[in-house]
Amino acid sequence: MHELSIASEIFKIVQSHAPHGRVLAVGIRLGAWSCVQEESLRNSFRWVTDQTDYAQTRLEVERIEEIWICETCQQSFDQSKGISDGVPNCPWCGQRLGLLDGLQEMRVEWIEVQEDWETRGD
Amino acid sequence: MEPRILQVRTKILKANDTLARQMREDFMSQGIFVSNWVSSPGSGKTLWLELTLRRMIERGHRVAAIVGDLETDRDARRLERSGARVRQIMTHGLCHLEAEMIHREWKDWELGSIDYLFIENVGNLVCPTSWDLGESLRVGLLSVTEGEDKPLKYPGLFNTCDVVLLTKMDLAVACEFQQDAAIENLQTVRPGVEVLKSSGKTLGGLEAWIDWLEERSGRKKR
Repeated sequence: MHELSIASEIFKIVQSHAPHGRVLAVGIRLGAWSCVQEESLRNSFRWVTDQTDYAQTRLEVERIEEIWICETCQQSFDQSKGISDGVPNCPWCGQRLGLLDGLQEMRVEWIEVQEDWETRGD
Repeated sequence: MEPRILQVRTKILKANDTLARQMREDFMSQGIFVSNWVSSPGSGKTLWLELTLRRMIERGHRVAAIVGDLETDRDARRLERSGARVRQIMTHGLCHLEAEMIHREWKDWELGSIDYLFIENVGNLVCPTSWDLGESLRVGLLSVTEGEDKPLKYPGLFNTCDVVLLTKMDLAVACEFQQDAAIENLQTVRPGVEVLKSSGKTLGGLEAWIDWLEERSGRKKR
C-alpha cells in the first residue's frame, strides 16, 4: 500500500527534472530492507502516471544487497546469506560485524530523456 | 534524437525527509523530545502509551500525543484519559504516517508548552519503516504473543528502532515466549538495540521505562 506514496514521490522527482515529459525510463535503487514490493511499485507507478505525458515511462529497479560494516576495522562487506543466518564475522579482521548500511536506501538514480526535450536540474 | 541519461541521485522520500529534518530541528530547539512508536496492530502500543503519558504527567512532565489509525478516534479518546493533549490522525486507508501529517497537526500547538511528544504510528510492521516523522527516538514494540521470530520476518522495521519494548510479558510463560531468542533476533537485525521488558497488565517495567526515557531525553524531573 505504501508503494503508492513512493510511486507518487518518484513521479514528482521525474517531473521536476523533465517537466515537459518524454521520459523514456527512470532508474531507482532500493535497499534490501526498504520494504518495497517491486511489482506493487510498478503497478502504482503506472497508476500515478496514467493519462499523463509520462504514461509510457519505464521504471527500472536495481536492488542493493546487504552491506555490513565492521565496527572494529570499519571495512565493508557484501554478504549473500539471509539475515536469519545471523550476523556474520568480518572477513577482514574476524570480529563480529556490527553495522548495516544501505539497507533502507530508496533513490532515483537517473532518468532517460529524449535529447531534444527541455530538462531542468535539481 | 538519441536518448540521454540524466544523473538524478535523489532520495525518493527527499521531500518527507527535508520536512522531517526541519521539524526535528524545531522540536530540539524548543526542548521537545519526540518519539515515534511502531509495531504490529494489537501489540499493546496504546495501553503502554496511556500508562506512559499518565506516569510522565505524575512526574511533572508536559506531554502530548498524536495517534494514527485508519479509522475512528477511539485511541485519541482513550489516551485523553491520561490528561495529556492528544490529536488523532485518521489516514482513511493509508498504512503509515508521513511528516506532512504530523506537521499539519502540530503547527498550531504552542511548542514551548510541551516537553515530550509521542507519536503512535499506524499499526503495521512494514509501511512506517521509511517515513521519518522528525522524531529523536524510534520505539518498536514486540508483544510476546507475536512470537520471537518477528524481527527476522520484518527486519526492515526493527532495523530502524532505537529501543524495543517486549510487551505483554505477563503472558510470556503461557505463550512459551523465548525471550533470549527474541533479544538475539533483535540484535541480529539491529546490533546494539536497547531492549526493555514491559507489561501493561501488571505495570511491570513501567518505572524502568520512564527512567530510561528521561535519561535518554536528558530530562530527570522528580
